[in-house]
Amino acid sequence: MFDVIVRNGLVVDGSGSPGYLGDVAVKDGKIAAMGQNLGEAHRTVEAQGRVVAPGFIDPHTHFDVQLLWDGAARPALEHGITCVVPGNCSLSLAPLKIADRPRLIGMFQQIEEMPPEAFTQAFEWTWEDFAGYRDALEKDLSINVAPLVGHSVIRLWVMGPAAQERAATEAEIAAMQDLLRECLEAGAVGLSTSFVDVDENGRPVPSRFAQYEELDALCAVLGEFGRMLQCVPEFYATDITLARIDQLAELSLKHAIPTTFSPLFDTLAVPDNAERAIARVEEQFARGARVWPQMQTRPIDISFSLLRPSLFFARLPRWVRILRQPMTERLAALRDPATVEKMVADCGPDGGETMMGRLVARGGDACPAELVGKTLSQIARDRGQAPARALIDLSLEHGLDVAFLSASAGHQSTDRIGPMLAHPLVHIGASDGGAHLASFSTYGDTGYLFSEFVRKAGAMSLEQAVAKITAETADIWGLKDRGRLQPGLAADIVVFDADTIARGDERPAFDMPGDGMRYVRSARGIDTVLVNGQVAYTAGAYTDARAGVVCV
Amino acid sequence: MDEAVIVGAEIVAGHDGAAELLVRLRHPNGVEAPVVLDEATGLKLMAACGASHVDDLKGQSWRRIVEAS
Amino acid sequence: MAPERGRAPASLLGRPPGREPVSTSPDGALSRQRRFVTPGPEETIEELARRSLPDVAIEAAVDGIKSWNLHVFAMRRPPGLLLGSDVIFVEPPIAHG
Repeated sequence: MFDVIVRNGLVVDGSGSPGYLGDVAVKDGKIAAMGQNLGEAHRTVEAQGRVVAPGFIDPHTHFDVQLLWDGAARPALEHGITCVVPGNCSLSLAPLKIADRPRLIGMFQQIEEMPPEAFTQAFEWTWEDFAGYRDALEKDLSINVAPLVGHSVIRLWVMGPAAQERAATEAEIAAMQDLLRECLEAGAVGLSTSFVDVDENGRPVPSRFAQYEELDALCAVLGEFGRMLQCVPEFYATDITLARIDQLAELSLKHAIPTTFSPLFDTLAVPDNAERAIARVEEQFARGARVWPQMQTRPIDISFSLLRPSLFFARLPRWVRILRQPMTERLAALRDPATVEKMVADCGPDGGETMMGRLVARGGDACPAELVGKTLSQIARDRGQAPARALIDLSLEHGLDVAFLSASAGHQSTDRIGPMLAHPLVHIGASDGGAHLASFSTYGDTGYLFSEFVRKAGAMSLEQAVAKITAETADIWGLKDRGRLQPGLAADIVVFDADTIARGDERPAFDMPGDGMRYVRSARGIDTVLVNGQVAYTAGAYTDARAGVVCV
Repeated sequence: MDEAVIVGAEIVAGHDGAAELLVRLRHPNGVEAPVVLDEATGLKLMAACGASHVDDLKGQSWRRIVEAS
Repeated sequence: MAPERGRAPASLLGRPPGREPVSTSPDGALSRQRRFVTPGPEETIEELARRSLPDVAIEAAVDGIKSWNLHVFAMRRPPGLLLGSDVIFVEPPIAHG
């Protein structure tokens, strides 16, 4: 008798091979059998007309904190994600001495937009070392976690405040090596570092003060375990990206480790950016190096309000002049009918319909709830105004605290990005799940992969897309028990409708500690998600299953 | 031309959802390359150059970018 | 098709990137890219310019390095601070394609 059987689905096993109709049986958290007429089970999941695939793996997240009060990393799990990699970009919650907590919280707030209450109200901070963090994490997990340890916190532990001031001594580097080794033994899947981030005071994060020799020494320890080095490089600067690829390649070759950098964006402003980076990656792979560029599926949106000057208006000279004035003068100008008349006229004979009509009122701020999600064009029509005037008036009515979103402003060309995502050396990831909470939703990228790049563009087959975010990801990260439907492996399974799987619309949610706001997207087309053999999500609801583990 | 000058600029979507300023520089060897400025630096550059439109940045020296940062 | 994984040329193994260019390997496996270095501990831009461009007058060398590295010199950070992890190009952009 099996525990669970998923029956009559199109089994897409993660290998990239064509799907086939069949059943998947689960026993004791593992896949026990695959085929047809497998026998009885305590629970049956009917999957007729659905795809049965390995659970998706998200290799770039910042769920480090959220996982301590929400072991499902909502809404990641409902999108079919069964394993997340937190601890990216040099930041993790361990190892960390009590005295250094405020400093790390500041970095998380600056870089990932975590509210301070997330660190003070939502969990009991009992640990300093990585093993202690793992223990705290594992108490209530619904999703699997493969945590990275952050270079910045390792530096902070060994060097204290000097971590953000100077290069390390030989003795300090040796101490960092010992500490990293301890973290890897305690279950860290690798090390993350950052070349770009700053803290809340604008000071570079500790990892950026490291000499190459320090990173080299830490990678020697990664080499003992064959584990991953992740880094976040400079954006849109192709020559620098290529230099980073070369650095990572040297470390990969010397220490026999996989490396990954994230994100790699496509942009029409620098059309050869991603192309040149991928070409360099190909050259380095040909030498035997492993340097995996992570590319996200979703486009980048720009958001702004009139509270602060924004470059969004950089093509409107009068708007720029007015919006960069101090608040008192700015408000006076926006209330002056003659000035507003000219501002509206600047936006064209259609009153800004072409230029601004597609902007969307985001919500999560002072915007009236009934306007959230509407386009400026709709709002203007309802108000009987030109869009530019509606934007100004609506903002004035709510203390300028009304955010507008310009959707798909970057990394938006499906025709260009599809073939890149399908490239065998491009790692689909970089979701940033759990980060940038107040700026945009970092959930649903896997749904968008299927809706945009499989169904709409045909850039890859269903089987290829599944392989990309399951078996290939597991192989890249060395997660030996994950990513495939195969007897003996962990029963992380997602059942979804290939015709409807997608990401829902972005919406504000007030579910962060301290009633903090974040933007989220619900899943579409996901029926059931099993984590280590237990149904963790089904029929649109999370279950009480807590079968998630820290997996390496 | 014996120093790098701005030959173009445009708004791009930053990784964190903010608008950023991508400035294209032509170097004395004739090769063009971009540099991406965050929103605050981009706005300061425009103000320092008296630019009300991104196209007004054309012809400015690379030094203005350093001064604005 | 995924490129075949090859063996790394022995001459390239163990060499710290940034201390010298990695962009042109003896066997031509890598295409040429811009040369860069990484700053040493407490190194100033003048010191970096002297070691990277020894044949160029110091003022011109510093000027050149600044103009080639606006990703460092036009970014938010304490003025004059070079970081050990910075990529500093020691030549202007090179033509591609």
